Amino acid sequence: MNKRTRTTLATALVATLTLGAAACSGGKEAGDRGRKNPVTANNGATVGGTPRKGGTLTVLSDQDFTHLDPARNWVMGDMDFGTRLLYRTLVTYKAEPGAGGGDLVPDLAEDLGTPSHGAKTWTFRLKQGLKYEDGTPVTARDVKYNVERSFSPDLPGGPDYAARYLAGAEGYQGPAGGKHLDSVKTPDDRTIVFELRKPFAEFPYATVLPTFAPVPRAKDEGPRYDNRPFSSGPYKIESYARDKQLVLVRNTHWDAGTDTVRKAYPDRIVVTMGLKANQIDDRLIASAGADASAVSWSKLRPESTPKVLTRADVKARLLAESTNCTEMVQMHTGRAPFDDVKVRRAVQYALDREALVTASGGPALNDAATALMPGSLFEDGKQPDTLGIPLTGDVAKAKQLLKEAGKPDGLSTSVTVSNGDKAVGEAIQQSLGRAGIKVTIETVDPSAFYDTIGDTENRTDLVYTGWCPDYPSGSTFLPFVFDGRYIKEKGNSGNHSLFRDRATMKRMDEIAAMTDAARANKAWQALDGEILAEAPTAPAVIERRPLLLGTNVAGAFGHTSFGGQIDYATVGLKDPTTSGN
Amino acid sequence: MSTISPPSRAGSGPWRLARAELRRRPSVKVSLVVVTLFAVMAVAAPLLSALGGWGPEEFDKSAVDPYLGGLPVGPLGGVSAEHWLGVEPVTGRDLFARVVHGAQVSLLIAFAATAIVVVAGTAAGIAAGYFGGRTDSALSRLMDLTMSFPSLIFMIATMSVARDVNRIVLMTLVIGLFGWPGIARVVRGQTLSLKHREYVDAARVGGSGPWRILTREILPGVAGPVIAYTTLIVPGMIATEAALSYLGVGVRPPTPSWGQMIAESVAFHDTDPTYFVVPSLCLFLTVLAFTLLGDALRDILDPRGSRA
Repeated sequence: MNKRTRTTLATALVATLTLGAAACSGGKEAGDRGRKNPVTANNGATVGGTPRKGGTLTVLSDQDFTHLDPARNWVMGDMDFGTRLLYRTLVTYKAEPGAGGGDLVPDLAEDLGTPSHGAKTWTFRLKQGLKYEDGTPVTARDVKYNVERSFSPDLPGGPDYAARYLAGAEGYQGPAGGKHLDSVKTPDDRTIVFELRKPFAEFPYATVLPTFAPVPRAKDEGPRYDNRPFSSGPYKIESYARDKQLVLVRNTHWDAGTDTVRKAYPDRIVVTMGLKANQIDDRLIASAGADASAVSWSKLRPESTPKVLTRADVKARLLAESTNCTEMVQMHTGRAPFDDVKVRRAVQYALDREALVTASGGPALNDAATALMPGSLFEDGKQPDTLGIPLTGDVAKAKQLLKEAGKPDGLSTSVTVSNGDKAVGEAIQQSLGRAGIKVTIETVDPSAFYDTIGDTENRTDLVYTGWCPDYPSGSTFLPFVFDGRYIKEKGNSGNHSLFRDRATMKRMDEIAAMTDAARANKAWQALDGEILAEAPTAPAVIERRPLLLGTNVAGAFGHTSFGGQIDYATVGLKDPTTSGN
Repeated sequence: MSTISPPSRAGSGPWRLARAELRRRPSVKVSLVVVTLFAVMAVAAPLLSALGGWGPEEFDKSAVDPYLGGLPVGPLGGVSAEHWLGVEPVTGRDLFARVVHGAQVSLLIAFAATAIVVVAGTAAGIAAGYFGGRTDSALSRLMDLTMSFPSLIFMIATMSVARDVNRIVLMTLVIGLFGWPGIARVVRGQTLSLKHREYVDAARVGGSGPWRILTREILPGVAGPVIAYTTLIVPGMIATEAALSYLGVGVRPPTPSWGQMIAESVAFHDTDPTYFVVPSLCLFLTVLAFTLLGDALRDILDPRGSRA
């Protein structure tokens, strides 16, 4: 899946692995350039102290949520917002900055699930006293119902882990026709049992996804449920005008005693949408009046960085947790000229990652990528320098590779980038141009971007896009990006290099079958280097998620498991009386 | 008593009169200088940027501070001995080289589109005015149709759909396509009033064919308004080119154009105002100069038009 539509985890899956926190990766450039990264000071810490109850928290956004329907919500920030405020899932992530954000804690369930049959069957028992916004109890059947409705063809876009792992799920079309999934059993109101196709030790991580939130059948309105999800969390929707404003108020039936994660400090949460990204930055820098109690939803624009980084008081209000997504220049390996590994390697050598980092907002907000999987999937939480190419590229070597490939005069090609990444496109154009690869830039509106590059026939040779792992396991990265069996003619996602390598696919299956998680992770790391040598993509940067906070905001941190988005479970206000409306 | 009398103006032709009149106005002198300056700049762009030492597409990483989101190093957007007008944020490309090359693109498109408009408009106007009847109604309806078309939307649509063509040629054609009816109407009106003048009738009686009458008798008569009008539409063309580039459907990066530079600099207006000011000032000066020049020309060559 695409970088937007995936959850990220930055921490250890198994005790044997000591994967470092994303917070640690901030120090990487410090050595490279002899300068300390000025934005990562807040990483691993909570900004603003402990909030006080009450007031209105405003979220300033330049976009609407993709989906808030729990069956369809699969965009990192949206999942954070949905599962932290509106609906609870069986299991969720701890509300803690830094590495602790990767730890699982029970949410609706009493524990993290009980495996049996060698992790092929998973049983969860719901807590007592869970209620919806109208005071009716949350039952195991409601969780099952939402899992079932995630299969409905009219509710696309959601996580497909249920479809991938539940037994007998092939061809299931949702509960509309009265058909139910036999592999999800609810022996009583509080017990839910999942039967899987194959052993899946990481299943509790999957139950963090909104697919495993309860939806009462009586409230289901099909696609319209997206506008008014029925709350089982601390807030309920008061009003929701698409692309304009979402107002959340307290759900009085939510019982803090059943919830160890959500603090629910503000009385109201207002999301104002449709603003210009630059204006949001300016308003939060000024932090005047009601804006003092506001936070930003989208990344700080690169143009705004000088305004923030030159002022210590504003910089102190900046969160910049890593997104843990690797952005790559992905080459169409299925057709000339990029069917030749020498040409692809020439691109890796010609690419000036330093220029790309600058174009994406500078080394303060990005790390140059040196391997495929993000640092969280490697030892010490840091990518090894598998490529071994200087960050500014090696033009002579690139030219030589092109010559060996029989293209001494270079070649012409084109790259597709999202509108907002135009500067990145120009950096790609300029750096490949040094080696004689002439690049034309196609810019596409973000809403049409994935459809455009998913059309394998008509897309450009190069595309610039990324991937984020769902949880700290190579199995959620490499197979999604490099398994040729999942390539789709249209609507292709993940494998944008259209990489079809038998040996790689065979190896992926072998690693997936490994039972020893530590050995499997080592194997994924080795495979990462092997794939990189085949050069289907040129890894470019790993971005951060820079978010500004108003001066009155407290308890805020970028959650490492939600792509660096603010953890809405704990954010609140220092002084609720000044928040206005 | 002096024997030298002032030069008599009675015997001067209309063109000489016009030139004398133009020379009298300081605004014309200034705008002529500005126009010439930019024209020379556009023509000599490669030479000038070579003089500056930087190509328009060359990145200079040392000129920007990556830790500040690529903000130029130094005062006034990185103005230095090396970069005369500073550099573009993020990329560090030389602004002088880009503005000079941008002038080339902007002016080339503006002049070429103007040429299309003037040639097509004059031809259509003369034909409609002189031949009248069906030719006139057909051409006049076509003018109405073109004028009533939502041209900017059509231009944006065309530019977005046609991806793999020469952008400069396409842009010239698209801009030119919608400009001709204005001038055609002016020329048609002028032709209508000229075609029954005595000297035209005399030529007709003398056995001249329509081609000869059109080119020898009518065309010189409409030349004045056409020249004035031409100068006046050039700034419009420059502005349209800038607008299309600003909207992101103009020339492709890394080719610089003023509109594109302004569009990109908007985001930096408060952190790097120089970046915003430089291309905007160029656009402003060129448009102003052409407008002043056009106004003066119209006053002199087409006095009735200026009152309308």
